[in-house]
Amino acid sequence: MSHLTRRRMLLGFGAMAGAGVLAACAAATPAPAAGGAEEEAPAPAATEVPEIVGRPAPAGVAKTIKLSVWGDITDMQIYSGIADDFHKEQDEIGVELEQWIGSYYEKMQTQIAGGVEPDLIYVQGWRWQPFAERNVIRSFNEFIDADLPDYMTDVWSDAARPQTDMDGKTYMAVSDGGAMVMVCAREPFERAGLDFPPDPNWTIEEFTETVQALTGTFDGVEQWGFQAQGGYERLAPFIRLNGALEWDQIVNPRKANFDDPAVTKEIQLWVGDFVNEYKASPTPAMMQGGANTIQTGNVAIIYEGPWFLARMWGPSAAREGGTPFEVAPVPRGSAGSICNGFRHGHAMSARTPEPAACWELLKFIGSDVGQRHVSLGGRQPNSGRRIEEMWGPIVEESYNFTTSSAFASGWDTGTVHVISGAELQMNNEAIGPALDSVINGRRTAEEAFAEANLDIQAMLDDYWSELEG
Amino acid sequence: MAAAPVSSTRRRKRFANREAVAGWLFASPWLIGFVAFTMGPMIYSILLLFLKWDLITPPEWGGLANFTRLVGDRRVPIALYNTAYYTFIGVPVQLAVAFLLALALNVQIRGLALYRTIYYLPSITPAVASAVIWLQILHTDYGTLNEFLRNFGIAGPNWLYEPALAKPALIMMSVWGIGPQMIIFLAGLQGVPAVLKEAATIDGAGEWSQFRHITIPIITPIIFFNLVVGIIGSFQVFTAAYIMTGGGPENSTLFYVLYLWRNGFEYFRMGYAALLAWVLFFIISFFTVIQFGLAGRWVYYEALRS
Amino acid sequence: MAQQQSIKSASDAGPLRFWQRMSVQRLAGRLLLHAILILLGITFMVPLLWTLSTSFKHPGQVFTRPIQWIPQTLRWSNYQEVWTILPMPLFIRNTMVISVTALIGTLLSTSLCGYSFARLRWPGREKVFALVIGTMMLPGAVLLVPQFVLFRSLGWIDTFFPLIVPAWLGGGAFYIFLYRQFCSNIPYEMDEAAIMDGAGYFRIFWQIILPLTRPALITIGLFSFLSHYNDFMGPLIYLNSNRNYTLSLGLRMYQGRFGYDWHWVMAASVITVAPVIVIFFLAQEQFIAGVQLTGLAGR
Repeated sequence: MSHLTRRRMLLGFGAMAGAGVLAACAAATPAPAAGGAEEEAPAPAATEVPEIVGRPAPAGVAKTIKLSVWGDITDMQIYSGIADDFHKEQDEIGVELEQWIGSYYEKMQTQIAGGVEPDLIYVQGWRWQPFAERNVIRSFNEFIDADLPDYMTDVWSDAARPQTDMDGKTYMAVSDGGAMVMVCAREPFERAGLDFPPDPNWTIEEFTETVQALTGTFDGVEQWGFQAQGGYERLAPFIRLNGALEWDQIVNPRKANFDDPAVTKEIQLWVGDFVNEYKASPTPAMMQGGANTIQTGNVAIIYEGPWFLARMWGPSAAREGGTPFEVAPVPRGSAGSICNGFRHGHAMSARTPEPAACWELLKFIGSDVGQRHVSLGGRQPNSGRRIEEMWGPIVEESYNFTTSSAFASGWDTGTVHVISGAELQMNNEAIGPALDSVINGRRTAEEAFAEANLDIQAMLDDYWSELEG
Repeated sequence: MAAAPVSSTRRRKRFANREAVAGWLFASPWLIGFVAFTMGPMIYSILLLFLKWDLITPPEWGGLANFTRLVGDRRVPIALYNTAYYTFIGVPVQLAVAFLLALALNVQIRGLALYRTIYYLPSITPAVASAVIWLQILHTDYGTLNEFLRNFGIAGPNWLYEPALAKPALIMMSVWGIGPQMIIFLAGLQGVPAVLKEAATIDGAGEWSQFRHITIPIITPIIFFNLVVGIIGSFQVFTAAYIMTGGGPENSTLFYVLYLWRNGFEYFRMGYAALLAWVLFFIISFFTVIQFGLAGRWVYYEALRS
Repeated sequence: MAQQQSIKSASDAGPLRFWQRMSVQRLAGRLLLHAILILLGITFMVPLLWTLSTSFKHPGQVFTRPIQWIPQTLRWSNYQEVWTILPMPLFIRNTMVISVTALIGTLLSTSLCGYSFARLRWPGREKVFALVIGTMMLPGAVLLVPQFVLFRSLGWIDTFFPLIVPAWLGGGAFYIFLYRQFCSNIPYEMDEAAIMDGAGYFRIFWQIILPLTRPALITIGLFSFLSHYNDFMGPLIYLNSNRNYTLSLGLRMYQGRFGYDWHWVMAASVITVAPVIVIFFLAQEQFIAGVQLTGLAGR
């Protein structure tokens, strides 16, 4: 009995091993060799590979550019479309796409460490600076100076510069982004008997009143006015509405001012008081796992970006039938209305042998053809004008609202939280934990940040001494 | 006759030589793999202790900079405390539950295959799915757990938002993932020779005494394995905090390897991360060596020859 | 053989014989055991049930309160969409190639090594074994990039080799340690008898030890398969082309930057998990075969 079983087991193993090794070799061979961008990989069987799977560049091109793509499905769709159109437009340069999923920057660093990074690397406007400081990505001013098409002049606007330039040189071309707005759900406003949509010129005081008036039980539904969030990235613009600034400067700060009373006053309002004092926002624990949010119909206002609209209305709305909404700019303080104006784009590897070809591709991504793919794929295009003219009509139609111009104005004035190689550490280890304690009502912003600011400053000092010393 | 002992010694020696050669040969896959893929990176990580390395440019000499950073780093004690808490409370609970389940599922009852599969399910559910469902279960107002507690008149807390409760909540979650330990116990229990049990039954031993004097001793190597590996693995807990809590609230789930990972991949300090790794290595070694030292007193090997 | 027969007949016995064979006390014990196992089992099934239920929901029904365990209408199109938006069949093929090839390598190499550490005496054995255990204690995060550079120098980036070859060479300390533990409880008299018969060490390993450690092999095989099947970091770091991607990467793509499309994530999860459940169900049956073998061997 045992013999038979064993023999059968061995036979099985043998067969599986043979099949497995064969399959492994078969699968491994068509993959292009590492770093061999020049080397042409044979095309895989076209029938079994659907459209969005990255194809090798068409045969016969003189140069091949590798481009990394963010990990969402929609990004691969956008860049597959752009690559196809680019190949139709010219036959000199081929594009190969690599999609990095999940832990994007870990993958990016590993690729650079191994010397196999793509020629063009997709980055967020506040994360590429450490790579530029270490000269692994290069500025491309020589191309901008020699050959900047008209349609790209407004891509590098004043609001964008902190996220595209460093020390007067340009390292990133904006390819898409996100300006953030106050997303307002219609039903809670109507239940509370307030005008809808709210006045786009609202002040912080009017906003606070509105939020409080929206909070309570109306028609038997318990609802909240505002969905407060405790993350620093999204809190930064609110801190600055009345002119306070939590750093000496936003780009490469050397001094942290989180303990400044003007700063802690705003943190207390936006993170602490809306939740614990006015009880006008559900606590993070209440919102956990998707309950008590604007999508469940019992919160009126949330601060969100363009990616959020599909949650409100349309085929993938988070509530059956969708949540009717409009958007409004962030309320005005004495310094005006300020929101996050995130920029995403492409940086050029310092090792690319084909910078000129990279520039050709960057221009194509930035063109109307490229930006139409971006807009149709659900990302926000790269300039205020395109957001208004190209993207606005598309989203107003798909998501059933009329106020998309709030995004365009946010784009032109939008800020960024901070640009610093120490950002993640300061946020993970000091700012984040301090905000946790404020939103949980355990400490006031003043108490929490008197202590945290020392930590933040220590991390900044540490960062600079390491970089310069 | 005088020659006989000599030749038998010689023969024994020859056998011993043959056995030694066979021993090295049998172990050679691991040795080759170690030399080819692991040794180099490990040695490199030792060099890194004295280097500054941001991963993306060549490393620079850093002298003792990593060591001075370690001495002044207030987050290391926090991370060590969190990790030790998770390990020394979590591992015993996990092993006890896994062992009891394995015992229950080692009995000939109906639906055995189904039960075993069900208890293994959480271990094969993708981490993303588990994370979402746990957020639902632990929800303060609507969560299944607090709804259950409400039946007894207990107002359930904010599990993942109270610094004091986040670690117990993660330990509770870890108990759902004990499938592998359970399977290892089960495989061990299945290996208890039936003849021994039969012999004991004939000798009139009751079920408890059978369990105590036959089953337990025979599976001590397996208990030992689960304990050693459990502690080694638990000291390196990472995913739950990385996906669900991000180390919060207020650093209460800042586990050691999460902090190490952040230093290496987010703060551009791979040299320091290597130092943190080797510190953890020695901490884990300490507990592992103690366990191997104490093993002689309670672990029973039929044929481990020394 | 006889023993095997008796186990079989016991479990196949009709209700009448069942009653006759059981004392009241024993029966009560059984019922209590079932009750506990079922109650606990339900809690263990919750994550997967939620996954399954969500995979059939409209995106708008995912977070309704109270939890809707059975959606009013089953949305099969989630599966159709998930299956076609990304090339799932291709991802499944890639995942299977990696997992199965690695599984075979792990079984062969860890059993050879574990046998050596448990049953052969050789100079330096304890030191080498300490090294094996040592490799488990250094967090892998610091080895990740040096290993990447190493594999890059071999030209293995964007191939399956970095994910498979290590399994054939030692297969990991965890499995070697596990196999050693199982191996060390087989009476040594069996080896001695075989040596008397003139058997070499390989024959002893192949004909005596391997069959006797079947539960351990099944366990190791299962763990090895699952760890490669669910591995995220390995494929993420070493694979670059979508056509080489695995299920775990595909699952993450559905999750996206803001983790919103839960109906897709869960449908993809079910597609990922279903084969594993079947494999597990079949594998655990093998434990029972393991008893019989060990039982025979003890004789």
